[in-house]
Amino acid sequence: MNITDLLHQTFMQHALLAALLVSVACGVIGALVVVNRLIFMAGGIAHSAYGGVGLAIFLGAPVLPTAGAFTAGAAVLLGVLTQKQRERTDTLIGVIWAAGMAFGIIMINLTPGYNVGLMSYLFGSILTVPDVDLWIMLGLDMLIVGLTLFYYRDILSFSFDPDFAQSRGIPVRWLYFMLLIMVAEAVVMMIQVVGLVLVIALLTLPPYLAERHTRSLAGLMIASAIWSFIFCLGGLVIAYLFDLSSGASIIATACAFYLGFVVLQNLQRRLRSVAA
Amino acid sequence: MKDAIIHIEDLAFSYDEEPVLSDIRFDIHRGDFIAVIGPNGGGKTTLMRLILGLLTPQQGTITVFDQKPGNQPARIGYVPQHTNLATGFPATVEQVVLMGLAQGKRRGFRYSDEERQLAQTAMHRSGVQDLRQRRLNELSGGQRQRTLIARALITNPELLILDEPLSNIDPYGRQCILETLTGLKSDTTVVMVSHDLGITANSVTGIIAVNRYALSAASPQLTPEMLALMYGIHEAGCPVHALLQQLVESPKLMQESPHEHH
Repeated sequence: MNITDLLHQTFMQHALLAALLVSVACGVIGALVVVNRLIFMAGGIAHSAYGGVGLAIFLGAPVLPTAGAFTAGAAVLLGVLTQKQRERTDTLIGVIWAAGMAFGIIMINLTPGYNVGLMSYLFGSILTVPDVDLWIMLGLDMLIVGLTLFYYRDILSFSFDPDFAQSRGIPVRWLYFMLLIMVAEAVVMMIQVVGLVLVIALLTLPPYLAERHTRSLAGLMIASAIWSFIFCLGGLVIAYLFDLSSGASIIATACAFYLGFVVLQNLQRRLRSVAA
Repeated sequence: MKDAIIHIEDLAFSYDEEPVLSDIRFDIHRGDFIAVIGPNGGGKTTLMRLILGLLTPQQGTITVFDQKPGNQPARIGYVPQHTNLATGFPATVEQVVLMGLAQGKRRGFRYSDEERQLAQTAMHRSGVQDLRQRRLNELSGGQRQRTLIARALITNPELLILDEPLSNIDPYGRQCILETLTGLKSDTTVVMVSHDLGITANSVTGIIAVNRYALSAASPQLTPEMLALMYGIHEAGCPVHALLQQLVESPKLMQESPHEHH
């Protein structure tokens, strides 16, 4: 099958659309996760999403909305607990991380006759995204981008310096919970593409590559979204050409870019020191 | 008598049953330039956070502009410890200064010409106008600190609170920052936390020594009681005693009796 025929296939059109929609959320939320140093928190939220997946399967409910609601609840719980015991943040993230996964596995164990491959939720399955999930992804993107645009000034000030933001009357507590809920929704979208195990890589690698060339938070979000889309496209092509798992191929592409970037940076540094 | 814009009475604050501040009482008046000094862990930053409304006291009262702390954010400029901030944050000097306008009400992605003009004025007052397009990680410690001062000045605050603005700053940078602060309008009240006794001498109009308790003086001179509060009583022969003796003998920093004692 040549590339034109491939692009006419519904599953590939859905995959490309899913990649585009996920990249938007990934760019915005990835940038916020990185500048707010919430990477481990995002990891905890991502893994707790498995509880939502298990619950959806147990109840026979649609996975994306059920996991979205469950993960938002887990994120709020994590936010409340970490605000009360700030010095125990790492421990609490670990608890929510493990508890969510354990709950999901138990729910699946309790589901009679369930034998669908769980690997698709752990490592993603961008080639099997249904129509309805694309609409939900579009809705979540609009919510994430809309809230970010509306609260941009407050988010910017809060992300840079929460103490100063609070002294200016910015509702930093509300912003913190809003950010955690947005992370939860972005993570649930990304589970479709790269799976919950690999979510962190797609949240953090694009901002890492983008941050050296951007001079604003908005710029970082846009550049991260572009990088994320490039990784998704590259991963899809590699997965198709070599018959590999799409989620792992997307992350492998991102890691290859990252390594290339690090090598290039070191080379540039050495050349500069030689020239000096 | 000038207006008391900060009034503190019988204030006490603890972290997890551990008392940090006890029996604090003092007034700060309009136009004062106050240095809040004391040892690390003595409660200086906690006191500033209470004045800003970032913490709530367990006992006593604080009023700022005759209201509860935190009620009038635009009238107060705050410069937190710059060493706590991420220097890799993707923002230019101008963007950081514009963050000072955010007050939980202003919306929109782009800034108006009027807002940019306010930022321009604040950067000019703080001496960073030539750095406006630089990223934070391209600045020295002193330039970064002056950027944070410009952010606090953008709303033309009547009260400016600075937490250790001179720590980890080279002497030239310190001089620039002190010039910025002393060059503010005469009715701007400045409260500056510092653990460096030396810098308090030339610029300030009063001192508050904090080490769980507080002693205030309406002059830029340390008293023996303040030194005892901050560093304890040391016997002759102890190195700290020798250091304190040097301070006692310095006419710039010391006076024989306190002006005001809580």
